[in-house]
Amino acid sequence: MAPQPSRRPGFSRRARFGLFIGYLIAMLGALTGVLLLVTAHVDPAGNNALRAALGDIVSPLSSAGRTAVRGASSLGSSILAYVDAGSKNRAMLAEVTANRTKLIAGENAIHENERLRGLLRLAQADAAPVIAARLISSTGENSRRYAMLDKGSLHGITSGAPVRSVDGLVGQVVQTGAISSQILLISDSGAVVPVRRVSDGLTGLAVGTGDGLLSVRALVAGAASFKPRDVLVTSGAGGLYPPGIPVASVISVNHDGVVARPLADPEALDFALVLHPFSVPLPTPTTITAKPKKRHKVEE
Amino acid sequence: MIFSAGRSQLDRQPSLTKIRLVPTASVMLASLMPAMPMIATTPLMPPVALMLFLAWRLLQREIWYPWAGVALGLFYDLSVKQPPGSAMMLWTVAQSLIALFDQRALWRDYWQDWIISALLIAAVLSAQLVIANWTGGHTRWIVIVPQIIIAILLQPLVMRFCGYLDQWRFR
Repeated sequence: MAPQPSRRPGFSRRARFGLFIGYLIAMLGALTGVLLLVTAHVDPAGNNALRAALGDIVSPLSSAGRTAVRGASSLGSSILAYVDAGSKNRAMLAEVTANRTKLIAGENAIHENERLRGLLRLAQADAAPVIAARLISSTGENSRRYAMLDKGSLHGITSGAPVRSVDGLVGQVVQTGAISSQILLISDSGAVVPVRRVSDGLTGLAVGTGDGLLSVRALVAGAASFKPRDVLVTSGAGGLYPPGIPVASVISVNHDGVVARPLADPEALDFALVLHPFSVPLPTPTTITAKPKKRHKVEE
Repeated sequence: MIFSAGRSQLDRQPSLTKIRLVPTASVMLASLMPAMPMIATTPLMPPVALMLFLAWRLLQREIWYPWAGVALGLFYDLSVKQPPGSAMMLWTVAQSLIALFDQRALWRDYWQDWIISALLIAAVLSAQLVIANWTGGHTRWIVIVPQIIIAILLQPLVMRFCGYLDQWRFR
């Protein structure tokens, strides 16, 4: 095929000028893009207003179709369940017998825990969630892992609030529009969650890898590290995420770290609870009452 | 039957608004695809908007204004939740790279179109990852390799679809 005629404006001065302006706008636009990126790098929070506004516009659209898709995806998983029913059945039977003994031990521990708590009068008031919302869409084209909730600042959601589902921790609200909000999933490569192992409280940090999994680092060097099938819950260290929310289970340990899979599968989950940000009570400032010594002499 | 229910089959004038709107509207609709009700844990969805944008450009040389990449890229940024500005810049650069290539090329064929769009898709997606990482992420490049491969393999389909749309808008 011969090349098509090029964009030659001919002798018309007006056409030439129009073309020149077109290229000028293109160059200025690209430069504006670079500038916007620089502001996003310097001030990520301030950059979010535009995006929150567009989220409000598209959220009803996503919300409507979500129901239909949920039906279709559950159909797919039930077909898949038939395929490996036999081997799954054997594995589950083995797991049931193993779990029965653990269950008894667990119930025992719960009773003991209640008794000790009553003893200490630690009435740990579980803060009620702000609101239940539906997860309606997430970005499949982008390397960052954001998802959209169908409730926003009108419903009392604030930026920074942790989000969980029945199964476990989902993520954190990063920006709120009026009727929609964006959450950063824990599998995003910018998300860090302080965790501890359920069985013995070994603490670590779970960092998202961007492909739906987490990479876990133990905080204790040289100690017995994480093993496959360990269950991790939030430790509450550093605030934000309340302690005790299930986060992930370890699936493999290899040379470049411990890989865990989030317990709350965002593809399957539908409703999510937005919680109050957790804050560790600070030590009362009355403990530091030592007066500054006579330094004022220098000023005189 | 010569006369159909609506317009006459003979001596028709295609609607000008349809001719002008179809390319832009197709790219914008494809940009809204991430708003589709699905939750993705891995970046696997091919960037259909970018693929259509390139396909239109390769099909019809003068279809976009020189600044089309700025406008459509900004719209894409906002709907895909990239840091705003990234597609705005990258699409404009991609558009001018094709223009540069067009100045040198002596002929054009199917394979050339595919190779050009494959290179540009890989470059734009990688650059977007670099930008996403620069503004707060830490994703490794290997995570987006499947997405790049899927996009490149799907590009002929998108080009064919684009050709169909092109016929349809003049009908």
